[in-house]
Amino acid sequence: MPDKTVENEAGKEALKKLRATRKDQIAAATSRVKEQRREVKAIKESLADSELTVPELAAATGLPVDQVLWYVATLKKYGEILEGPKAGSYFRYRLGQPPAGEPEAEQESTN
Amino acid sequence: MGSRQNRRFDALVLGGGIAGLEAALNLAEQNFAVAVVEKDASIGGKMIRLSKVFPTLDCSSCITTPKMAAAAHHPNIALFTYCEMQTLERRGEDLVAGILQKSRYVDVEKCIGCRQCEYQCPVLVPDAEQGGFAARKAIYIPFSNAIPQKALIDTDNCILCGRCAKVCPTQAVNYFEQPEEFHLTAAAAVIATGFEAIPLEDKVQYGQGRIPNVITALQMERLLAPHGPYNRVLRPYDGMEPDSIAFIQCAGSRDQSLGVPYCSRVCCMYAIKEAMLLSGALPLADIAIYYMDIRAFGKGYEQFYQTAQAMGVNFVKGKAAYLDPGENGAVRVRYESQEATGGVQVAEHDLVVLSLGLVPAWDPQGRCLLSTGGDKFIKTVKPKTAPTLTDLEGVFVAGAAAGPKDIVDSIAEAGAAAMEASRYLSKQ
Repeated sequence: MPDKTVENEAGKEALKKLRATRKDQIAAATSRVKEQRREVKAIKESLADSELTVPELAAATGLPVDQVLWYVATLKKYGEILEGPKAGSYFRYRLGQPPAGEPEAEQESTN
Repeated sequence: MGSRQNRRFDALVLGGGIAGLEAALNLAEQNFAVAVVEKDASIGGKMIRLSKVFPTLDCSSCITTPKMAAAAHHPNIALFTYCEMQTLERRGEDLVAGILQKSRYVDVEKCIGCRQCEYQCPVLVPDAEQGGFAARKAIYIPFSNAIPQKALIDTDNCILCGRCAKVCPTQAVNYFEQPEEFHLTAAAAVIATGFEAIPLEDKVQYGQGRIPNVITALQMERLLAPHGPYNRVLRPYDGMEPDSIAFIQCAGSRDQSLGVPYCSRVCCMYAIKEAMLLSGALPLADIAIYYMDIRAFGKGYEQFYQTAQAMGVNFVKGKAAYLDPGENGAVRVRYESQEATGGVQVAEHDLVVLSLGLVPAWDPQGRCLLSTGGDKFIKTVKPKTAPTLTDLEGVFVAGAAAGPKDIVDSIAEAGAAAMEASRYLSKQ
């Protein structure tokens, strides 16, 4: 197989062709990524100056409560959200720092 | 790590779960060259995904990981992960397996498992390894103690942004990788393809996966695991720490309507184990197990059951008929009580766990001439005197591929299958 790294011209051209063959999949995934970015941004903005529980975050962002928990679990895994103290039957969450080398989601561009 | 070339071995083991690894290690220790073919991107099977094991409550990954590492580093074992066995046929004295190496889009020889690609990937995808309760990236290493620690790309969700390739320090990412077919030849084979849980969608009465806070026992394993999605037990609906948790036994097993008339043998014990772990994680929570019979047949199992009762787990004799969504994410359980009061009763719980039964993970039909029984598990021709013998010469079966069984029995059977294979190989 020829060397097709994305760095060289041949690689860039081959990648372009591959993108064309996977056009529909990429469009659907890109649309999901854009929605995810908006939702993650809303969660992070809500946590910017307060610690909130998952239902409080759902109320603040207008997102479904189970979807908020999914994002919280994911951002916690990557160190972007930290678990705080318990409030009744729920835990509060606050912003953490992303791991070194990981860009902020809202700064990323797809293509 | 096996290179993707046509190669010859003494024995072929299909399945890299605990039964397959045990059989492979037993054969390798007798100086037979063994190929392990695993459909997933990591070996370890179901056991590496569990929190603890019954009745000893040993940490599951603490037991499984050394076996995985031993197989990966054994000079007589070659691992072929992310591979499907498409055909297995006898040609004279040889068994020839047609293998499909699925594309990882990452060169496993170059990948160093640093996860830089994963950190940079912008796509979030529900992580099946965490019960879907958290996300992974489109390029990912399956789980923290996966073997091999190599990334792969999920092309259904990859947007080909090129970020992973740019950040990879070893230029391991290859978007253009193609699936590859090759052959493995061996004199004997051990089928250790394991089980899958009965699909949640199959049971209309239990909500088909649509009722919030109705989860499977394997999802509960992830909630209980130290490196689970929340690092604690929370309701997936809203993050609440549940006060009341119920287990529904025989969810799918012993159920003619689902075509699963048999007992799955492990559900009683794994539910008791999870209930005991929950009482440790949530000491104030009420835990109930709705059951028809408790089948605690193994060594130490009856004492384990009695310990759970002594710890306050409430065993409710009755068959759950319907589940409905209740208020604020609660689940209503409508059941036919077989206790003193009898009749149809309704109880409400914060979280309900379905103890799903076991079905075979692999169907040989169209791939090889192995027969299956009425339960669709691999048929054994001498179930009493030589339970690992199949109807294909030189092919043996171990673990849940032959029928539902627990880890202890799977390991014992894997040893037996390895000995049968060893005896067969010695005669060749």
